[in-house]
Amino acid sequence: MLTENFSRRTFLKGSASLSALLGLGVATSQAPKGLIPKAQAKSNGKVEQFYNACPRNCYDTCSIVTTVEDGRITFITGNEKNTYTKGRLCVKGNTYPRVVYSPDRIKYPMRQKGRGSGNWERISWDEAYTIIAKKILAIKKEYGSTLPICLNKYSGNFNILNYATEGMLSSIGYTTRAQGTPCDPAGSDAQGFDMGAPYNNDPEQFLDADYIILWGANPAWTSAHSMYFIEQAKERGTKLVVIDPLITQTASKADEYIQVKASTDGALALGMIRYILDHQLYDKNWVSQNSIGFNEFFSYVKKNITVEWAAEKTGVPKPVIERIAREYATAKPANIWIGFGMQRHVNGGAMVRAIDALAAITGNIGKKGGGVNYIGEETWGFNYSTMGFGAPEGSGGEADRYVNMNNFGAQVLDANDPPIKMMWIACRNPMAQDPEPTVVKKAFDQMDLIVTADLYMNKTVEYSDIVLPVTTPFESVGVNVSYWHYWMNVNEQAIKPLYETKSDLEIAMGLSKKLNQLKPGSCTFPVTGDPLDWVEKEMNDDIKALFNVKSWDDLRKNGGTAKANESITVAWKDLKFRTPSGKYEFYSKTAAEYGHHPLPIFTEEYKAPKEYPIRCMSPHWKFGIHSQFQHQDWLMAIQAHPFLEIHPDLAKKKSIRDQDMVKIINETGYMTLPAKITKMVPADTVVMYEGWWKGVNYTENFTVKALQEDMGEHLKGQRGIAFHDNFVNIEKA
Amino acid sequence: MHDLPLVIFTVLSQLAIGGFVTLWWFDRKNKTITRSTGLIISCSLVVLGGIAVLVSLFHLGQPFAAYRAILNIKVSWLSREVTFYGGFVGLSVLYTWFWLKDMPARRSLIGGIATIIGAIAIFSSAKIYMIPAIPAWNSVTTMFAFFLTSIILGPLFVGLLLAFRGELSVNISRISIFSLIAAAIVMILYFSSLQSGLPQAVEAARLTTHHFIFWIRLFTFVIAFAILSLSIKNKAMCNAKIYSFVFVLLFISEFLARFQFYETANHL
Amino acid sequence: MAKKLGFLVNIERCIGCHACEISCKSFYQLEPNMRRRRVQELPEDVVGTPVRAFVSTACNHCDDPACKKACPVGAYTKREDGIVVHNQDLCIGCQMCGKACPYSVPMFNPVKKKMDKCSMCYDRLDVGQLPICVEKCPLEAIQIVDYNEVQPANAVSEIPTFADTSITHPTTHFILHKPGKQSRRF
Repeated sequence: MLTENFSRRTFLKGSASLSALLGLGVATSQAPKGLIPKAQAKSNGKVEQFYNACPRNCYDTCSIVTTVEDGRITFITGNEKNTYTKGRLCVKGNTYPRVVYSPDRIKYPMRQKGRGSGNWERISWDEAYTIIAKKILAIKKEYGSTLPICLNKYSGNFNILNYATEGMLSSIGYTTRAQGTPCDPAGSDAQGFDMGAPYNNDPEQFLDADYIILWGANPAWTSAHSMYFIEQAKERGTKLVVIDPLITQTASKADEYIQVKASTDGALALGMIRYILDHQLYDKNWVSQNSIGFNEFFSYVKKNITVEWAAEKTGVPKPVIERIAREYATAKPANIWIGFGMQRHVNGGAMVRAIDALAAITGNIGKKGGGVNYIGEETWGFNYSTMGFGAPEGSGGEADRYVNMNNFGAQVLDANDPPIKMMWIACRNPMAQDPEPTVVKKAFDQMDLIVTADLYMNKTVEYSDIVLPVTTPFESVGVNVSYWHYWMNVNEQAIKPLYETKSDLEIAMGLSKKLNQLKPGSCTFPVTGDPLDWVEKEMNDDIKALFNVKSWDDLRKNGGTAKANESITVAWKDLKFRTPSGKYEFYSKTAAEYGHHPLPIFTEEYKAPKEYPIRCMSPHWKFGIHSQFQHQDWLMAIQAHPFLEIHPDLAKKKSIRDQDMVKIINETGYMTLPAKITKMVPADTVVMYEGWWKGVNYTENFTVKALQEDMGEHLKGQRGIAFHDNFVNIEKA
Repeated sequence: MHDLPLVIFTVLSQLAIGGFVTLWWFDRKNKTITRSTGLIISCSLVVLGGIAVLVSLFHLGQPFAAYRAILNIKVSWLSREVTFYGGFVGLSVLYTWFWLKDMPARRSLIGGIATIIGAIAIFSSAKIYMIPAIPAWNSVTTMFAFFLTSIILGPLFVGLLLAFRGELSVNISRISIFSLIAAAIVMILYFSSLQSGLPQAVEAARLTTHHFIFWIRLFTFVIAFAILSLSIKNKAMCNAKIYSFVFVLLFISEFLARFQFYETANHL
Repeated sequence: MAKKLGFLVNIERCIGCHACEISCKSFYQLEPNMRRRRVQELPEDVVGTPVRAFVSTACNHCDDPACKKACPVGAYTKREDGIVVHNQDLCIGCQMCGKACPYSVPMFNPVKKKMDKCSMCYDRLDVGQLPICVEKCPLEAIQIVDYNEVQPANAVSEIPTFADTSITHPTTHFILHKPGKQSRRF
């Protein structure tokens, strides 16, 4: 009724009553009345505790303790027995009870009449399996193979048993796969060329560092548990330096923050290297004993790099570069953490190689508390027994076919011989997460059948034909490890699956059963099996020895979490690199084989087109991992919509005030959202955080092109996406 | 909109108390009011006062537990308001009873006590809102405004009913015009104190004056003022129709003023 | 001597993650919009150099609680140890406490139709456990301090955005953010 003046109040009230409505069915029935002491309230029912593992695509991969009263989860928190999780969860993990009991969960299989119509009808699991199985068999008959069936699965749930989806698809024949990762490929390849593999030190060793450089990493938002160790180290006197184009939450905590021009981090590292070489601050013994190609690299730097040039290129003043170089080179040990965001540029891999070189010449690699830390996969040695059944007899084709996950829409459309006609999507939300969503939609339009297994009605589900409701971690069993810390976490089934939900493993068995009913021998995936047996089968002697556990069940009974033994927690401690030479390779022939310069040289950044001069970065957001979590009402109550961060100078130039609606546009797409005027971003850059906000019909990827990073094929099969080389223009809407 | 029950409660209760005091005073002074007229006015005031109580319950999360609101009378102004206003309504029922039984002496006595209790109720009511947490409220102008609502609406209400009954023997216009002048002064005081107050108070002033409701409120006030000014010297204008019209204008004005009082209450 | 328990919020450590707020919501199974603890953004120039700074506050368990004075049913009591407790059984949902509190701490629960606020987890404290927000903060940025026993170094009772403390004398104290060095392009 009242406009302008009272609109905010009215809005708040409106949202309050809406949430009250949503809350009615779920949280309230269990909410304690008054301030009944918790202990007293608990004594009425049967109270049990279970160990769970947070399976999200996250550094922290927490060990969780779930409290269940009378079959209902009443609290979810961190496991104190895990010295990394430390009994605490991040904000997202704390929403898990709501994730389970959300009024938005998909409750039973459904079929949509008309993609995107919202006209869903409930069907039984048997009906769903029948529709899918018949389509698979029909495709096989028509095309002589199952290659027209494409799987797009990635990181929504990293429980080892979820690889059953890949296993199921392999069990029907050769199929088309979305290959690669939008996450880390360029940086991983870079470390692969330099050292043979990406391999990071135990993050608990931040406490042993004398000097920490967080290079394009924002653990305050993306790895809160690491941030604890970093903050502890800082309070003990370790200097914390953050290099980032944005004043991130982590940069706000730094002893020194250095604002680098985006995508010029390689120039900064090379400038520091030049200074270190000039001043004889490098570790001569280390490079002579443990590396090859140092002299070539040395002469490249002497010939091509100066500190002045680096200052010019990066926007970091020369005295700052010199001082940081000296401090870093003389601190022992000095630790660098390279964030994934830093390499999401067209020269990302080259930049990581330059930073690696900085760590190598100062002898910081192989040292406890040191290292050039990016990612690691030392603890992932499971059996992956859900994946090993092979194609059935008489499968057409010779091998799986790959399309690049990072240019999914276009490559699906390009695939002929045979064309792609059916899509299976699990643990993934391509409509929200892929660049160029309009192209992805076109690819979807070409499909005869799209099946998506998910928890919520997200953008991808909205554009599917069949949705299969899946379980949360608390309703199924599993086991998880991290690509960052060195713990293995058990995931027990804490409650019975709600509604008609099933795990990806159960779905694989169920579909296999139906396929074999309709056409015996058409799927090699087992049709029955106890998930507890399946998870036990993941453990082999090596992994048991590494974590000093007898079995999954043994770990379940003994704290639910175990740390790998110390032999692997210091990366490259033995200085035996996995390169062809066995040494650190400043000069990498492998890199040359992939078409790169063999040395960690400077590579130019992507230049802004004239019409679109403003860089739009889409970093991770504190209330979400990709498209997960932010849409939950607990978090919507804190931040209800996306926003665009704009520097006051740029805002002034465009006559934009705080909270004004801003249109952001480029040749790929546009969207309109409220402005937040802030000095946390530079004046040539705007920031829109990644995430799926409920009720918001656009995502940060509306303007993102499928622009390739420089590396990725070597270790990840495909290059990544230069998410942060996204250039746009903005105007007041 | 959330505080609408409180807007209605405060305006109606203040109208009822003001009307009651007027009736009691006229009755005591002039003794010209007939029993049936007195009964009609007294009953209508009890009804208004009762509606105010009922509406106020809608503001509570637990209306059936409203009786508990008197428990903290030692410290809470809200407890005191509830107690004294409850007392006032009870006494006004008794007062009406004495109209029915036509007992002027008792009427006068009970009316006197109810007047005091009613005044304490308005005082308590204003004190509830004079809190530092809401700078726009935390001023003596709140007290003035609450009493002025009573003085503006009460006599006019009783006056127009007397006019309808043909028993109006006092110049209501004169009384009302003084209350309107006082209200205008308080309004100026109110806005100047907001302007010179904490940021939340400044914002409250901005929100109030930048909304069309404020202009309706001012417009109705000015028209009512003009008509009353004309009617002071012009006996022919002192009729039931004119007073009803003026009353409606001022009721709208006071109601909207109170509405804005709640809606612009910016918290610290 | 009686205790004077209060929160000590370390803004230097706080990363504005809201884990305190959400763990509280989870533990007490509050309705989605109910916030017993709130994390608020501070002005970005609060320490001189521009930073992302946040402060987490709950009930301030004031020495002179305005809620207690406003409540018509006497639902508020201040315990010997200083904790201000709201008895929901008595509450009639008049919402005056929420209006009177300079920090807008008591919130109306639209489902229970009563007011609701932080209890400093007194039932946990009484059995030797820490309040949930204190225990679950990933950065250990919130503590409970007996201010009759200790006056922590660097602790201040007033920060920007925090309402005038002379009204109710809140017990919450803060440790401010120390600005680091910055070399910015803009």
